[in-house]
Amino acid sequence: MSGGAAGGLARVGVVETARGVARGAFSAEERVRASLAEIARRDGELNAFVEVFEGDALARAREIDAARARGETLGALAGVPVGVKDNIVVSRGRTTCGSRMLEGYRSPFTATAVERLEAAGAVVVGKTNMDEFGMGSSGEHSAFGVTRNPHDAGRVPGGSSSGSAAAVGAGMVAGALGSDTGGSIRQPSSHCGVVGIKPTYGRVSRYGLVAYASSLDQIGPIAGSVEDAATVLGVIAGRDAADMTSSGRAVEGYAAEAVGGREGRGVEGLTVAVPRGMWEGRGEASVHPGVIEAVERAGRVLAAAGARVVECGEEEGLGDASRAIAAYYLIACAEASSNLARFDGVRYGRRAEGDGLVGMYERTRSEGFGREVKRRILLGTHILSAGYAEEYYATALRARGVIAGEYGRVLSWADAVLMPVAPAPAFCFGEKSGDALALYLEDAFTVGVNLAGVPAMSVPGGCAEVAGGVKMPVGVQVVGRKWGESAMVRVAGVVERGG
Amino acid sequence: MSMGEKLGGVGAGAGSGGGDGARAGGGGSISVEQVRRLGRLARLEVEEGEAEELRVGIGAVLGYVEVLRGLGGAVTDKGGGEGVGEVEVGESGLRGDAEEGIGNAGTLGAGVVKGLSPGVYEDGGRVWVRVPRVLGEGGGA
Repeated sequence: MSGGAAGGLARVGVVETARGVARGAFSAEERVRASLAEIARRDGELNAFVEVFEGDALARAREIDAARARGETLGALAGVPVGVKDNIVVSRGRTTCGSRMLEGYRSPFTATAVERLEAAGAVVVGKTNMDEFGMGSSGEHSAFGVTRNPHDAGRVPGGSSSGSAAAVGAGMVAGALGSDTGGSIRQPSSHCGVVGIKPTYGRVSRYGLVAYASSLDQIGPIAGSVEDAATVLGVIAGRDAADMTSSGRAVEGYAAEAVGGREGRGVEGLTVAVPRGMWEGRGEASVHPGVIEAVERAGRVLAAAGARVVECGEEEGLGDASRAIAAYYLIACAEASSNLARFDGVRYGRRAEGDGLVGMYERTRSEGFGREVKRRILLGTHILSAGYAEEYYATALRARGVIAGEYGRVLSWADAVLMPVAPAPAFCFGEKSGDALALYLEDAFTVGVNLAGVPAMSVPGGCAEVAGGVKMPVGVQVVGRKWGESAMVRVAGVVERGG
Repeated sequence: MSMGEKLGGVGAGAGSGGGDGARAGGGGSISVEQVRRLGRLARLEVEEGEAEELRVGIGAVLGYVEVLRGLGGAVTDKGGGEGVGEVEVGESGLRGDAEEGIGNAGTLGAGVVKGLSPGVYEDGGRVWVRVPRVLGEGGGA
């Protein structure tokens, strides 16, 4: 860590920033200025932010510096510049969800997760770009332009938390909040070479998260290291009276678990399952060899650290990924068609002129929603409509039960599961944009986790070579037991060391 | 779309555990007229140029989800009991009626509401929100 030049300071992570500010190595204002300078330098190209709170962020940083000068004890995130995905409300500035529908919408309140970050001393420097309403896996579906991958601007950053992952990957912020309905934290984290955690369903309050699919949505952190992401998780986790789905289960010391893992401690006796049946023997091109190698390398590192790395047998595996994708898209679209009904031109954001009430509704929604959102709303409407609900929706619920059961069985004897995050490294812009189904298959290894409600995270597992000899980052997915973030983070700490 | 073909093939194989869940009909195809009807149900104007593209996109997904058809048999093969009843998504956070001090945490105070829009005003000691006239104009909602 170099505390001198602004460029160096911008790369200082979550934990090191809070320590540096606390001991006076640099001020919160200096740290936030470094972050803002990096945004000014790179965001013209990457488009990771939809709004930057420059003046407000500097004012808050100065408040933290003043608190230190008064001798006050600083929070665990003192002076840490963070980005917030634009479907998580902050009363300052706008909340657009990457949609024309909410262009100019201002929330009257701030999400609980953001309030907890700020109470710990974090400084929100801006709102990050995203696929519209969380619908997309590439960062190409925002009404405010595509976000680009910081490792290769010709490639997608992944999505839907595209801006949050790209901003952390580029060093524009030390950490960020994302949301994950079917992989939207983990997949962009994998593509951008950062760490992203999808906590257990109910671990983090969703008060202030604009709903996409309520039985699947979860807020989580994105950061540059497992320890940094675990530190942010520890701050935002826990019961919130304003979200009845949030759990009162004890929040554990995730950061200490991450450090333990990184140092190779406490891994002996842990069992890690590798469900190779999910990707082996499915045709060589199904999963990129660099992705498979990253998973295998992580397994070797874990075994060397003393973990018992076990292959799942045929009967106790996680089955094939295609069922999870099918069940996920049916359930998510059904819930989305209901959740997005609230954007009608009366209560939120945009209103178009139309013929009577229904005409106004229809025109407003047609103008406000992008094509991918329309497709999912119509698909969800179809599968919930009379005559099709049993055929599609009930079948998807049954599949969800089977998939949750499979995860439950594997995680009854394994402490964690190791698998790919995405089938391949980040692809080029436009490669899949004309084919909705091709893009949905990006989520093959991530959606099952949301259906089962378990926690999972993406950890950098090295790089893989793509066309033209370019090397792109590849994430490895560590899936934990329900409420088992501690063991998951410890395992991830080991994987990070080997990546 | 090589990924799709390959992963799709995986699903077809996995469904072979039992065929009793499979049945004919429905999945995979949808007409432009159906897309327009869905648009009316979803209060979404489907424009002339986009109906066909939406039909193709939705049809492709509906075709893909056919992989779930064999699942009924697969469940039986594994000993059953893994149907809808096993769906468990996290721990229920429903609060008990007896819990105190929570109230409706999402309710905004009048002071907050007043700052939101020029359409908010006070009259007779109460806060009112002015909304567009939408009823009585032949909307037929």
